[in-house]
Amino acid sequence: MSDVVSDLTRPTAPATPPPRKTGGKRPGSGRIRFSATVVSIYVFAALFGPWLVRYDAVATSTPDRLLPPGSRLSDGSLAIFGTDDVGRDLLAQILQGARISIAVGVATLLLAGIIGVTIGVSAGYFGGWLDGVLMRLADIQLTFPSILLAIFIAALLGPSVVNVVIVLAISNWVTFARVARAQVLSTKGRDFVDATRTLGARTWHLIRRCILPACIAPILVVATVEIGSVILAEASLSFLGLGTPTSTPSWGVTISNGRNYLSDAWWISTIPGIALAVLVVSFGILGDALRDRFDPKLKNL
Amino acid sequence: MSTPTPPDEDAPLLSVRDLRVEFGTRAGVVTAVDGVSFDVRPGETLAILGESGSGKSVTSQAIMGILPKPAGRVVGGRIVYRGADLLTRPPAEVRKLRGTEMSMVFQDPLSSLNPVFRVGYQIGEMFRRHRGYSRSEAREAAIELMERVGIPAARQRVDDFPHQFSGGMRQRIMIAIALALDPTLLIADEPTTALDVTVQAQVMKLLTRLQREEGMAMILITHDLGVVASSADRVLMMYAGRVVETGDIREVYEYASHPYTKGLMASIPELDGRSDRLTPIKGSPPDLLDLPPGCSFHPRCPYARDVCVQDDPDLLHVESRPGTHRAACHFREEVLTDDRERV
Repeated sequence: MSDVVSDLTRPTAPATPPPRKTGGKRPGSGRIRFSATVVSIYVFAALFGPWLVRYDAVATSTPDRLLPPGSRLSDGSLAIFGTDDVGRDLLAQILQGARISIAVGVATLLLAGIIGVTIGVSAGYFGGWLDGVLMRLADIQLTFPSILLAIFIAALLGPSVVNVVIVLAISNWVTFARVARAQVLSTKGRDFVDATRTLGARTWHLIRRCILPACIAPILVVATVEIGSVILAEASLSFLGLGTPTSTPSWGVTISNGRNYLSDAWWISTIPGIALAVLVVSFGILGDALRDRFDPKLKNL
Repeated sequence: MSTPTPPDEDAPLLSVRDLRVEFGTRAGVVTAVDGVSFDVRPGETLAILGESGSGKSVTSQAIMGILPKPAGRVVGGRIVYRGADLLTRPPAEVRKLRGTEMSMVFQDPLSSLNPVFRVGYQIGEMFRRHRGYSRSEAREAAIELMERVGIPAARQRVDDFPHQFSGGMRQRIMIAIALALDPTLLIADEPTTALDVTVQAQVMKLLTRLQREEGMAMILITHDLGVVASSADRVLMMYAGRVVETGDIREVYEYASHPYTKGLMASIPELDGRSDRLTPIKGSPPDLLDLPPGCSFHPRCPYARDVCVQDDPDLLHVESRPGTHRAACHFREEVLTDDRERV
C-alpha cells in the first residue's frame, strides 16, 4: 500500500485505455455488418434509384404489357424485372416503392417515437395518477388488433401517405412509451439525478440532461426492431387499398396490382414481395443484433 | 463568499426545529425522523452519527429537498436557513439556494455523476448555468477546480467520462461540483463510505482543508466514529429517528452520557490492547414500524428500569458537565459517572 502523498500525485487510471479488439469479438458483429449492408443498399437504391431509372405513374405502353424479366422493351431498353399490366417497368416501380416504404417507415417511427417517448417519460417521471392514466391508455391501445385499428382509421381518413404515417404511428407508440417509462423508472432513482437536483436543477433540466440521455440507447434499439414491422404494415395497408393511393407506387400497391395476373405474370407480385421480405428480414436481424449488443434487457420485447 | 445578509457570528446558519419525516410503506407509516432539532453555525462542522436506519440520511435529504417521492414527506417542524423556512418558502426560491448556497456530496461516487457527460462539462455546467460563463471560461474554471481537489493532470483529464476515473477521483470530482459556487453549507452524506480506507483518509483531508479555506459550514453524516473524531466540531448522535446525545465532539467522546453512545465507544478496538475482545451493543436496531414504548433504546440498554419503558426521555442538559452537552436518558448522570463497561 503506497502512502497518501504519492497517491495524490499519480494518475489513478492509465491515460489511454488499452486498444479494444476490433472484429468479430463483440456480440452480433457479423449479423450487424451483414444486415446493415443490405439495409444501406436499399436506402441507397431508394435515394438514387428513381433518378437513374425514370418512372412515370401515368405513362403506359401497350406493346410492352406483361413482359417477363429480362425482356427488351419496344424502345430498345432492357426490363430487368419485366413489366406490369400496362407496360410500366417493374424495376423503376420497385425503386420508387422502396423510397415510399422507407420514408413511411422512418416518418412513422419518428412520430411514434416522439409521441411514445413523451408519454413514457411523463408517466415514468411524474408517476401517480398521470402514470396510471397514460399507461392504462397504452394498455387499451394494445388490446386493439393494430391492423384492424389501422383499417378503421384509414377508412375514416382516406388513403394518403400522410394518413398511413398517422395510422401506423398510432398503433406503434405504445412500445416506445413502455420502454421509455421503464428506463425512466430505473434512472430517476439513481444518485446522480438527486445530485443534479441538489445543485439547483429544474425538472426540465433533469429530464433533458439526466433522463433522456439514458433513454436513447434502448429507444434506438426498439426503433430498429419496429421498423421492419412498420414497413410490412404499410405494405399490407396499401395491398388492401387503404394505404398509399394507387398513383403512388408503394410495394403493397404493386403486389396488389399483380394479384390478377399471378398465373401468367408471376413477376409483378413476386419481385416486389421478395424485395419487401429481404428488407424486413434485414431490419429484423439488425434490430436483434443491436439489442443483443446494447440492451440485452430488452430480450422479451 | 456570497452573503445576502450581514454575517452574524452567533446566529445559526441553519436551524432545524422539531423535524418529523414520515415514509408511507406497504406495512404502514414509518416515522424515520422524529422531532430532531439542531443548529449549524457558520464555518463549523456538525457530525451526525448513527447506524443504518437511524434517520441521519433522511435528515439531510429533508434539508436538501430530495426525499424520495411520493413515499417520504416532512410532516412537521421547520428547516430555517438564514431566517427563511425552506419548508414554507416557494419551491423556486428554495431551488435557487441549492448549488449556490448549500450543496451536497453523496455516498456513492460511482453513481452520483452523470455517466453520459464528460466530467469537465459537468463541473463547468455549474459556472455556465449559475454564473453565465461561456463554454471556454467554464472549461478553464473546471480545470482549475479539478486541480484544487487534487486530480492529477487535470488538463488532460477534463474531457474524460466518469467511468474512466477511480472511486476516489470521482468523489473528488463530486466535491468539485458541490464546491464550484462557494456554498456556505455543505452536506456530506457518508462521503467516504464507498471508498478504500487509504482513499477515505485522503478525501476526508481534502474536505476539511477545503472547508477551512472557504470558511463554510459542513454537516458530516457518517457512521464512522473515527472520521468524526478528526474533523468535526460538534456531534449529534441519532438512534431510531431521534437525537439521543449532542455536544462538542471531545465532550461527547470522553464523557458519553447516553448508554448508546457509551456502547458505541466501547465497541471500538483500542490500540493499547487493553481488552482482546470487543464489546458489542446487545440486540439489534428496533423496527421503526414497531418501536418499543418509552425510550426506544431500553430493550438493549443495560441501565434500563421501569421508567424507561413508560416514559420517553427528553434531550436534556447533562448538569454535571459544562457547555451544551445534552443527552436523552433518564439516567444520564449515572451513565456519565459509571466507569464499568456494562454495555
